[in-house]
Amino acid sequence: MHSTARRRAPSSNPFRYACLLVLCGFSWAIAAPAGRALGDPGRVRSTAEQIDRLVGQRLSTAQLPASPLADDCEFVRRAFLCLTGRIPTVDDTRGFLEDLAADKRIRLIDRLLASPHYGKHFANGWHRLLTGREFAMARPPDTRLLADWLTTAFNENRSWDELVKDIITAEGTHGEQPATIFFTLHGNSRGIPEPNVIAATAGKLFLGLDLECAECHDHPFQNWSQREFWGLAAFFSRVKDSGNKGGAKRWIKETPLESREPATLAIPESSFTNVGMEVAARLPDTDETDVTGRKSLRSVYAEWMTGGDNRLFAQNMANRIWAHCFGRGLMNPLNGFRRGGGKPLPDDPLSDHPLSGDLLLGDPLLGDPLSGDEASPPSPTHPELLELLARELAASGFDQKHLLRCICASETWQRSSQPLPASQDDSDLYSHRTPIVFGPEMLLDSLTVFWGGELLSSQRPKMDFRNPLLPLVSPGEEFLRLFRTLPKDAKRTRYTQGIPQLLFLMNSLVLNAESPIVSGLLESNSNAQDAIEHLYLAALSRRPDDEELSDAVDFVVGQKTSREGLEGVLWTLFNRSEFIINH
Amino acid sequence: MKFDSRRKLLRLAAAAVPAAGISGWFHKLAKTARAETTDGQQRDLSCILLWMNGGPSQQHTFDPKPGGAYKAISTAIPGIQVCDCLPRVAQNMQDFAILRSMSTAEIEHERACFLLQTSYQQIGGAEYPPLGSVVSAEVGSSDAFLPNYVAIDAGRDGRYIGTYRPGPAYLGPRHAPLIVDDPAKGVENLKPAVDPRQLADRAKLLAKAERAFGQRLKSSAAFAHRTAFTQALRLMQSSQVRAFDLDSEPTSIRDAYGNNRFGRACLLARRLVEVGVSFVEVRHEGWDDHSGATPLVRGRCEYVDPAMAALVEDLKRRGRLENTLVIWMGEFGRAPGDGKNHWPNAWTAVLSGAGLKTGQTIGRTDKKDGGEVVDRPISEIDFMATVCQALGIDPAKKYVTGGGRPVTLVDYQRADPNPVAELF
Repeated sequence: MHSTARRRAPSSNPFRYACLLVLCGFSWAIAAPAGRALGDPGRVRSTAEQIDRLVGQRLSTAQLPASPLADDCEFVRRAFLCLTGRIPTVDDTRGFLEDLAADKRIRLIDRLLASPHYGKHFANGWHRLLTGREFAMARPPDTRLLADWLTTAFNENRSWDELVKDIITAEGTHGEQPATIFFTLHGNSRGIPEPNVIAATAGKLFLGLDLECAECHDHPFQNWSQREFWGLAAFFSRVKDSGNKGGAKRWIKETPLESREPATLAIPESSFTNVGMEVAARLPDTDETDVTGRKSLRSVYAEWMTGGDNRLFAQNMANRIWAHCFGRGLMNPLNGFRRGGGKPLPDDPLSDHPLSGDLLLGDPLLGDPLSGDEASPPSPTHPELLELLARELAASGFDQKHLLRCICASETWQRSSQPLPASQDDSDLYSHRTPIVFGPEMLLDSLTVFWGGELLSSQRPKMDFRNPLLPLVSPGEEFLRLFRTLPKDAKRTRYTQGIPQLLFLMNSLVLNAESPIVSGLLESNSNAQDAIEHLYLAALSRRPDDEELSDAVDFVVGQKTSREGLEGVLWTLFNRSEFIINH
Repeated sequence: MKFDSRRKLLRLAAAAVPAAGISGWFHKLAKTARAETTDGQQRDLSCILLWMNGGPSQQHTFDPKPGGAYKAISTAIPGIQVCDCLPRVAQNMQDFAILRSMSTAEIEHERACFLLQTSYQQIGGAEYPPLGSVVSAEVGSSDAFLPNYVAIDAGRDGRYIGTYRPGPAYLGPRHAPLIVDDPAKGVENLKPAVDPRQLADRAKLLAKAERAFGQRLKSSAAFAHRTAFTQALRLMQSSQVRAFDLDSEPTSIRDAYGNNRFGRACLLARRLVEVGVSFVEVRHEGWDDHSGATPLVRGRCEYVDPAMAALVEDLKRRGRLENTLVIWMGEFGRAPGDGKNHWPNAWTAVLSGAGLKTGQTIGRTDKKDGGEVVDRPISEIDFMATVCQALGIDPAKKYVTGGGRPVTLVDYQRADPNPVAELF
């Protein structure tokens, strides 16, 4: 039952609560001016300028010159890849290159944000983060329901705090409320939800915290005590899973608060300290959490997580959106945020920041340099910028499209990936763009755009009753599985695929069949030069240079048929390193 | 400009390394460890790592305790006992050395994997190459047709904690592993889809464009892609890929290893080292027995024990054991009792081959429950230095990372290494 002991509600001590889980001690999200029109172009412009100013300050301190803006070819490809997860078609690229209007870049950004592919692209990323534990289950649920639900939510641009609340408090069947799949997947091998796994994952994804250590012992670096961790986990102690009910009928429910079941969890035997201790659902830095009259334990947790006082919520999402655009976060690792240990920002963040100056020079051919002071816990590379983005996100009512529009409108995002000689070794001051490697979905979707027709079906095979244990995955899913080599949340600037993936691209029958794009070129009777230019525009969103063109023409002439010649050029295009990176 | 001159210095330094940096103790011991045969020929050394991901329970395998859940049995070496789930390994004890006093400092899976495979602590995003990349770079031939580092997925049997493997870091993408998802399938898509002349034309056209792109855009990702692409092309042209064809092995041999994924992975490992692959990782997932090790380890050992024994017997019979270091280990052990917890304080790793003095145990844990080391603790640094010595690698070799930091292959900053001299 509800506790009747004297308790201290968070609001009874605003100062203390403001210090809770915040990096500095003032509350700001609530103070955001209300009623601001979303997508106000002036607002977008001024935020973009502030991004450029903050990045520029660091560059000038480090005496690094910034590269000029990307040309139109580089820009159109980058914008399509960043916002819709696929390369532009030839028509898209030609149309953009021929457009002479001064505002064509921001118009393209707006067009892409309104594309249905936008939602799919962001849903792909979050789907991976929210699932990916299917391996752990004997009979995993069909997570495509969740992918579709996320796609709709991102396309509708639902505010991020509302979306997260829906996930945290999800109830019903997988079919009715696909967000419930998150709970089924964060359970044991039979799908019984594990409160500690849910709390650790939610902390990581939505607050950028690394809580796993605190499951077993007090976390020395992050000021998390083990009891605090289990206090958070206990908010998920009443979540029930129906067990396998056959596909989408499986459900998640939370036992209501009126029930006599205790809102506590016992610290399990697998921990190192306090084994067996009963821990009540308790928000951090409170002696007790009053749940009287609240809807459910999870709703209390969701309010706390997404509430205006919890600055990590906005900072985490701002950092993840930035990482989406640049391949790496302002805070790395993405779950490197801390409570308590975080110092308030100094007056001049440039003066004593460990990463200022020329400490971070790395040979790009020999892997990433150290991304932080080795001896100290992670800290953001641009603390003021992170702050700015988090504020903007919260002030816009957690409008993801708005923040993306601001970032994509900035010169920082639009810079060329070609470094100037003096800035060659810069890897995180944003003097130039660092190329991002295609994830599996981006690669498949881009190959499909290039190919000119469906490459790999997403249709799952029917159950074969003679081999009922065969996994029912579509050819598309098999491709995604093969190319999924980057750990969750890792920097996307790293190439982690290898020989098996390249052999698939080189030799698989499907990519060596007759392609619709070449068939189209042959039907239209284009000459070799035009056909090669078309293929270059389709694959690399640019025209070949003179040497590339003459080499390709020579190649085509040397093959037995035009078909063989053009398919060969196509093959060399999708096997290029230029093809698999968003530069 | 200050900035420029610093870069220049670093480039000079980078050009000068890797320079030999042999520390005193290494000199002394190097003679015994040097990878040379009697006639002075360089031995082609290799290493097979049987990695039990999740942390195998030592008291259910190689460090039995009185009153433990599993009975102790005698082995081919009088006085050495192991758990009764390892009868085949016990018969071959003369070829194994049991290190019972592993004592390491990291208790969380990913961090412990990083620590045991690199000898460095995982802090602040600093990257260090794992043992596989080190062996690939230091022992492997630079013109091999097969990649020098192959990692085989030997399946899962128990709790899934995810595959974590550090990248090759400053050693570069050439020393990233070729990952084999299923030992029965080997590497797929090896056959070109077009005729060889066409493929050669395509590859030529591609190579020229790639060179130009590489000059235009300095990108580590693009560089890694090109490196792997070149390796893939070489692999396609290599007759050594026949190593992946396990069906060409006699039935009796396949049966000895076991007709299961782990057995096939061990057999593939042997075939790969025979064609010159310097490091093969056989990764078996599922040893994170939080519900207790007793009901689960025995079931796993039903196929791990015969495969491990068959691997060593087979290597010996074929004259390769002398040149091959076999390691059985996880990222830590498990707590006394039923092994529900991770336990880095006192655990076991097992070595075989490479001319080591086997048929012995090294180090001891306490008699009561084996929770603490009472004799000769072996840290991750000691362990890595031992492996390096067995493979003729200088663990003090210096490199400069992409960030311009000088580093040594084995972490000499934290502690002086104390390799297990009893093995040499």
